[in-house]
Amino acid sequence: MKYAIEINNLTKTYGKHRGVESVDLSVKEGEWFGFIGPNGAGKSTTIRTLLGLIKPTGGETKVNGMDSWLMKDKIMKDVGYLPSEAIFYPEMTVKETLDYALSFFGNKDGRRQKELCQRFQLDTKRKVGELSYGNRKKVGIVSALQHSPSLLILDEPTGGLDPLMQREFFNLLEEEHKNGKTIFMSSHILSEIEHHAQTAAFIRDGKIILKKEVSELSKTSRRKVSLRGSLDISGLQGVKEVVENKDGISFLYSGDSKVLLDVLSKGDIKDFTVTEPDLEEVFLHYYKREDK
Amino acid sequence: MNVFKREIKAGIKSFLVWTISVSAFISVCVFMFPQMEGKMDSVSDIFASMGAFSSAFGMDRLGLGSLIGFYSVECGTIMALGSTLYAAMVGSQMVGKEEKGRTTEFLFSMPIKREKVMVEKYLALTIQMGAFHIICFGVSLLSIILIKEEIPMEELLLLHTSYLVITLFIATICFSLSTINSMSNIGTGMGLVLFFYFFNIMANITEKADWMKYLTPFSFTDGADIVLDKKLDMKYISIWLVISLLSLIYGFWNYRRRDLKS
Repeated sequence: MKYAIEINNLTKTYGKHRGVESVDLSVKEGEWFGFIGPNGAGKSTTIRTLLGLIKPTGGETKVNGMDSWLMKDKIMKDVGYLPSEAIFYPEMTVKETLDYALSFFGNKDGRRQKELCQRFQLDTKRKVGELSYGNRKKVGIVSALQHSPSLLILDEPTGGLDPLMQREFFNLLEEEHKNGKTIFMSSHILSEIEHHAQTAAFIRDGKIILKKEVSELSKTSRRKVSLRGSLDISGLQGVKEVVENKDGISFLYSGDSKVLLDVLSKGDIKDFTVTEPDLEEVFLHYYKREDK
Repeated sequence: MNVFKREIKAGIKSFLVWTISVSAFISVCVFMFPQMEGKMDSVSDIFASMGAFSSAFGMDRLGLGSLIGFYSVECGTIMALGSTLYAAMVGSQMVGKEEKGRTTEFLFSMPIKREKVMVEKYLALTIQMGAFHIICFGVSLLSIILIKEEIPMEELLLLHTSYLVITLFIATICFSLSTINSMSNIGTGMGLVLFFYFFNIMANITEKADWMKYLTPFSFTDGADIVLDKKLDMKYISIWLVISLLSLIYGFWNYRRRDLKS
């Protein structure tokens, strides 16, 4: 099996400050991979190491089998990168910016560029410095995709895009993915990962705390129990995230179903639901700080 | 050569402003010479007796009554300071501006090596400096022709060569310093130029401070030395050539190995 991205035991420190610690990740060719984490967790450090902008303190990162730090220029020929804050040269027009980017790939064919600009309704004559955050993001999208790379690295890609453009963007990504492209997308909008990615990794405090297929993540044995009324759960094993309110109680349960039903039958319950937790709840569970 | 072309295009406004300003100043100075020529003999005597002040600018050894004496003192100061301040300004931000303007992620998400970015940026810097000097030299010649004076070609060529060389040295040192993220600002470069210039003035005032000439590249642009000796002082040029080359090697090494901010 070929991997588009391999991160082996990656550690990056900035003096005394932590970046990431012993990160291991692999992304298969053709996979759509979601990289989830709060601000400061180490997502950008991981991505910047992949791009060869920063040198690992320990371990290695490989893209398409090549070392990110040593062979960055060869790697980037087949990578499209969309940074979270797409910043370009303000004095250049959109067209100049995109042509400048394309010139690095030795590709003079601007058909794909034109097609993408039309799709995202970009005015190519405007100066980049005059554009809103959302429009700069569109320039970033076209710049990342215009040379038809096989791997897309997207850092918080939808920030600034209105809902219509977000839909258009994900339609485009779905098309790219169907054509065999690998997508590595960082986000803290969990629905984006849940609806599109096949595999997701959670990063917290510089460490990968979970990597699973997205379908598996929401199909954990844990169930979310919500009820109206009163129930004594003190003897129930496998209970987490208990939230009590004036109408009732909700909690995550990972124990035996028969025991749960037995306890429920003894309570004064008006109504109850037992559901699979969505990715948001899985996310919150993993990110909840231990000292809280 | 796309980075080179972009740098040339990005620097064109600044290039025009500096080239036109310095050329205009030199031209005005040259045009002033015929009006001052007759009065300069007595002025020269006054300057020659002003001790430290005239020594600082070489006026104790050069007669301001001759075109080349007048040119090397008046236009020389404009050229030496103007060209080095311009070199410091462009050189100091050539590399560091990508991190300051947060365009690093854009530039380095392209398939290009850091070394190649550095080579193309350095080439753009030296071409701009070279073009600046060619134009300024051309304007000087034209101005001298227009005032119908004989062109002291040998001295002029030597003077302008020294200005070109110091410009390249300053540009190189500032370019290399700008690879250190904390040093990549115009203030550092311009401050360095003024510091070197001040050292040269100090060194010229008294022979006791002659050792200070080793601490400043302005030492080999001294108009009086060049005009009287009709040669460039290769001792100082060699020292600063080595310093510039070492700084350039350090700049490339540092930029290649360090983490880039975005």
